[in-house]
Amino acid sequence: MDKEQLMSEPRKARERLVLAYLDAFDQCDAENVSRILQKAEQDPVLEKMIWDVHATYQTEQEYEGHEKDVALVRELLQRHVSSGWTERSVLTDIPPLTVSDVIAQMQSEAVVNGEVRHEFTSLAFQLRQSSKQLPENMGLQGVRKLFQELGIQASKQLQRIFSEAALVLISRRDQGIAQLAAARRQRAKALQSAEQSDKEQR
Amino acid sequence: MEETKTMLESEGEASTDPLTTALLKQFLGKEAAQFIGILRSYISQYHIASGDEEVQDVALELFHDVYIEAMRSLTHFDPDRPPRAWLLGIAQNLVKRQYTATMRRKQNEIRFSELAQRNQDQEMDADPLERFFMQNSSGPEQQVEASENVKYLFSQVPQEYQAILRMWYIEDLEGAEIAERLGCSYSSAMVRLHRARKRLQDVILKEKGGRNG
Repeated sequence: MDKEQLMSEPRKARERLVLAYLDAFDQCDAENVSRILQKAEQDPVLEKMIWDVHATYQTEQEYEGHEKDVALVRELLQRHVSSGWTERSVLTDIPPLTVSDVIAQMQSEAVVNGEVRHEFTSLAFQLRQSSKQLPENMGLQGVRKLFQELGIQASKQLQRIFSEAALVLISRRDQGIAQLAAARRQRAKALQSAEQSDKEQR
Repeated sequence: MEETKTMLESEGEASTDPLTTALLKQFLGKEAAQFIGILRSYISQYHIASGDEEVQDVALELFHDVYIEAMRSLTHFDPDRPPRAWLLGIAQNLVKRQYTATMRRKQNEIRFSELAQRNQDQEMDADPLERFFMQNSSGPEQQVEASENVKYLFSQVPQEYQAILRMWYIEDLEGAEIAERLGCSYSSAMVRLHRARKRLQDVILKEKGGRNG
């Protein structure tokens, strides 16, 4: 196929091929994937379309997988570590987590490296003093929504790192709350038995 | 990406064309992250590895193998073209080999051609809805009926996908126009369209099953 032919090739015909490629990929139909890639070798426009769309598809699938993991962890925690959820009354004793806590966590653990390092520096500058409380959902969707509210634009990679750092902090805070609740129960028990023995002595 | 950087610096000396080798190295260096991402999806899709870490490790190995294979067959590569599809083709062949080997190891003789047989009765590259209506609308009356069928089928797809299907099939918009209407990137629009078509395909299969059963 020469250049002129390529230019006249309707875009929608190429898009059908991109969709056919994704269909074949989803069905593990290697023959058709290879066949379409062979066509793409002759057509740089189609080639670029396949490359970009597949990369986006893969990113979204990993993103969804991460969301599912977050939901599963939350569900498991709710089921098996009920203290973190049932002892709501002690929540006020440990200050709520804020956006600046997460930024500090990311800085102290040096979790941001490579390509997003520069982006993080700018993000940290904007958010290091933010007293905005973290919402309940700190999965990727939650982070995206939070950033929208704060008027922040950040890459998916940085959103993911932020989400992970926030989840670490939330988990630590929940552990702290559980320990505090256990200490309170212990103290209440001790008080009760002290009162009991006082009564008995009287 | 330290591993890929080291690899690109240390290998590929077997090539006879230093300029092409340099171009390929430059391309892989620049697009490594995206390429490895696509390789990860091949690996997950063909169940060659599971779990984030294992998939990433296998993807890095595969990236390495693709690079070596590309260097070996450099004579088949036209340096005037971008190498994406060519590299993906190599990756696809390597994945296919690995998949077949894994299957054999598991004493399961499923071959790729057998997996592809699912599509045997489907016209190549044909769209599910277009295929469905090609079979069901020959005259004007059937076309009216087909249009009613379209409405019905779209109503069976989750609402979030109905608009994009309408744009693609009824308004005959291109991906870029759909992206503009949805206010998202071109690639995201195409991915959304792909997901919507998958749902539509499921609805059509269900309808077919209902009629036959």
